[in-house]
Amino acid sequence: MALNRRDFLKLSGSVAGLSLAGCVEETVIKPEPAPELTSGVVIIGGGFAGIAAAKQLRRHAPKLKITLIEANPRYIAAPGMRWVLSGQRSQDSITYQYNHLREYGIDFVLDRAQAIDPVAKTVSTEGGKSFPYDRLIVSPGIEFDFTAIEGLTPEISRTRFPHAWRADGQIDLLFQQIQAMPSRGRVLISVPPRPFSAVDAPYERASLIAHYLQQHKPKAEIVLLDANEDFPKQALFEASWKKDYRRRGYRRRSMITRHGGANLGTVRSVDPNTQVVMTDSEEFKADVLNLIPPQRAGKIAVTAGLTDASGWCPVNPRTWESTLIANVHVLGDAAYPGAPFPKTAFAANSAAKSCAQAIIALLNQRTPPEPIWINTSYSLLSPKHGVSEATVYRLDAQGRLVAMPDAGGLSDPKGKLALEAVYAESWYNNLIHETFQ
Amino acid sequence: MRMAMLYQLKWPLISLFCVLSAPLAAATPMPAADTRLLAYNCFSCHGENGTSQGRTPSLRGLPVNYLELTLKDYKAGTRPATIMQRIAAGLSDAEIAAIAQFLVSESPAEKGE
Repeated sequence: MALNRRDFLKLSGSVAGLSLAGCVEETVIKPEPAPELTSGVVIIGGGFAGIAAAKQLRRHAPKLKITLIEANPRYIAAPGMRWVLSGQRSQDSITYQYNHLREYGIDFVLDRAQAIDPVAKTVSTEGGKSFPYDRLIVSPGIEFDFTAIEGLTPEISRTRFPHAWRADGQIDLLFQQIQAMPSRGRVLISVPPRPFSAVDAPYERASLIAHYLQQHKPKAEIVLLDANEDFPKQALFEASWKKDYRRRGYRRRSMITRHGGANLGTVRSVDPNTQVVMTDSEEFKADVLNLIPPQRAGKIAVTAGLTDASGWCPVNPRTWESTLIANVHVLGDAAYPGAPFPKTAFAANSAAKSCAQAIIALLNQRTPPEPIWINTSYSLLSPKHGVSEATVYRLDAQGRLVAMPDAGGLSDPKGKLALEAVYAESWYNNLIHETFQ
Repeated sequence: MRMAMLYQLKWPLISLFCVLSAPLAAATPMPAADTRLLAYNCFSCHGENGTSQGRTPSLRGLPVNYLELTLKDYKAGTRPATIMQRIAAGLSDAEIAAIAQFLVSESPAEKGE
């Protein structure tokens, strides 16, 4: 049964008085920030990170002023795109709205954040408004570097060679192109150098497109041009590509061919007329081009000076506060907590929860609680077979974020992959419910 | 020939690693994570406040000793699982006990309304 807002707040209300085994003193948080703080918390970006932070702040600070600024009225949930490619969902069915935020007393502002003044502690928007903050959360997601691929423009990307990435949608366009291509056609997926968001999605995408082609165009093929030498869940994916997606007419070849590494796999240019892409060593012609450009932190993070030379935003993982600008926290795909941390909806949600707790502690001049983060990443090898990777992260004695070496890991390839596909859907439903209900 | 050399090298290397890493690990125990942050991570898969919207089991209303025992069995690898063994391996016994207590307080069997 769905939990309504009253239940959510009632349950959270019970937290303050609770005495917990194994808890240290500073983990008991006062439900409200100090009264002299009136500006509250402003959040830029209504993705998985921004909303999780907003709801978590509200859970523990019933009277805190919380404002969420988001440029789009709707959000297309990237983790749901896999079921569009498998034909089980439409893009509309993975599109969500922000109406629920008001029910939690979160001010939703439909506008684009334009600048941050870290001295005056204000955010200004394209709409000409200014929002003061005590603490600011910036969670703008990623931005593409279209210039990295010669011949590609945002317009050509949107209309011809969809990346079908993040909340831009385009996944329905990509699926329509695959449906419409010749029966012996070729789908080309270009994978940018890491780090990029949803790091195993290109490989899952190859699997699901292969599954579709096997049913409808068994003589077609998929080429992955991958700027990276290796990739997550590689052994699991490659075993499945070889076994489950044999190319018709070939005894040993898979429908999926991958060219990996900077020289073999980095797409340098595309010719929109001939649909030929070039790497350093070869050229490939394709009927459908899913070109995913290199990525960096979203524009507002760059404009505000939150990024370093890497293009991402360095943060202290204990609080997710920027190491460059005080009182500004960065969450989600844009953040770099000093060690590789997955750019997934699940990890963003986990980090947002610890960041929100840390912000409430900081507003009350308390020590932030000891954090822990979990990432659970499901990938479908076919619509009915899934694999997962789990990772548990903590801080070491020096305050550095580390993946726990004795925990986590990959699915057993001989395990219950059908059950994991069922759990992948449940994982999605629960994450969506937590974010958009 | 090469393999044989590698094999000979392997065991002394492993024992050296054990000697070096054991006191290191003991010298820097990780502090217990905040119980709420632990439990909120559970909710991402098992549903907000433990009420699942899918086939992942709900945690709401489960008895405290059942939750604790189940998590400890996952950690020990004695209970079959798809993913929970890998996650529970990252938790201390004290954290498991605290999560179980917290989940019962946060998501009681009856809401009383």
